[in-house]
Amino acid sequence: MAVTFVRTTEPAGEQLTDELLARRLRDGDVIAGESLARRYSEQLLRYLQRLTRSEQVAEDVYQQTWLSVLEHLDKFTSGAGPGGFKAWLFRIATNKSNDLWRSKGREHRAYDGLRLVTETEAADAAAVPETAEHVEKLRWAIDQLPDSQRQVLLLRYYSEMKFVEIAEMLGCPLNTALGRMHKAMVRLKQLLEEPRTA
Amino acid sequence: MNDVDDNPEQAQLLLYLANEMPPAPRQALEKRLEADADLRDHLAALREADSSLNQGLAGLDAAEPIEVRLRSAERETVRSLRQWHIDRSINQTPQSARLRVRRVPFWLYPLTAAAVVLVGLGLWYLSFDRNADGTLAHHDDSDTPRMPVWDAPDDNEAAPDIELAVRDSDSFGELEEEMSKLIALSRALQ
Repeated sequence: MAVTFVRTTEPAGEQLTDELLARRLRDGDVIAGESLARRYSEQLLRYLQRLTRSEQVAEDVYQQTWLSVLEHLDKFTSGAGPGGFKAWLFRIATNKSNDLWRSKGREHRAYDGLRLVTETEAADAAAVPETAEHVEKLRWAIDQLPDSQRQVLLLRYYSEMKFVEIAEMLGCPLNTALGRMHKAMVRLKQLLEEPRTA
Repeated sequence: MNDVDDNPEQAQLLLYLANEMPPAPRQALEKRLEADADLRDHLAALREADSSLNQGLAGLDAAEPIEVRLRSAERETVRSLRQWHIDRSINQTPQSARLRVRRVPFWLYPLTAAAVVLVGLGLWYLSFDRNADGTLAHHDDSDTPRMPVWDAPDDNEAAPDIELAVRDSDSFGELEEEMSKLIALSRALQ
């Protein structure tokens, strides 16, 4: 049996929104799906890298996210929540990431301990340029944030979602989401001002 | 800066900074900002922290190129997309084929076999003769045509004599007659 990859025709002047591409993907337009995937690939992968603190894990979660998107595509097109496809995509990615860390909680804690030791030693030993040091310190500072705060901070930056959408996505009141963001900003400022080894 | 959970004002400032505040509360907050210097300081500190964070994260991303991993992830996603499409096409197309096969329901096969056995048994049962009282009668096959048999050879005759067991049948009568002629002819030739 021959399987064809169709490209559906678009009405003149119609804007290729996420929802339209998702609908076309559901109707068998793989090219539309590829466009949709590329539209958020960098944001999503960066977000997952910062969230999971691992490039390899981020890539795995990235793939799992897309597999889940395809699996539940009919659900999305039949009733997209607030924030549209992007919010849905980042919600799935966040849930996948949470699932992963929940299932590997023990390894996670062990990894955190190991990472803290190695990074502290590296910071003492390495004589890095100021800019690179600042970047490295920021990464370290973000990694020190509690998961709930880091999630809101990274969602806000990488998904560019509104606070209302982030709160809805995380299933918490708006004030809680704002509180986590605020705490994250305050904590980051403190961490960046104090010596790293402290 | 105080905690937002303890001080909802900070939440309002964050929303204001993000330009996500509805018009009415926004105007109310702007009026308060004009009057309250501390609130203005809070807002300035938040704006500075937000700007610093955005710049820092942009710098962090620039310092960590992910092009290779990104291309790899995209390729993998495209593969998944195509495989998903193929799987879906396969799962959708054979539905009609499956329907064609399932037009003969599975229970029809044993039912047919049982019916054949019952019909066979019925025919076999009906083949018996019956007495007046309905009981099965002993089957008398005396009038059943038999195959011709050879009599034991006569010492005085060179050729075997043929006797037919079937007398009632016209065809067997004719056959007997023909056979007699053939035997007579054979004797004459000898």
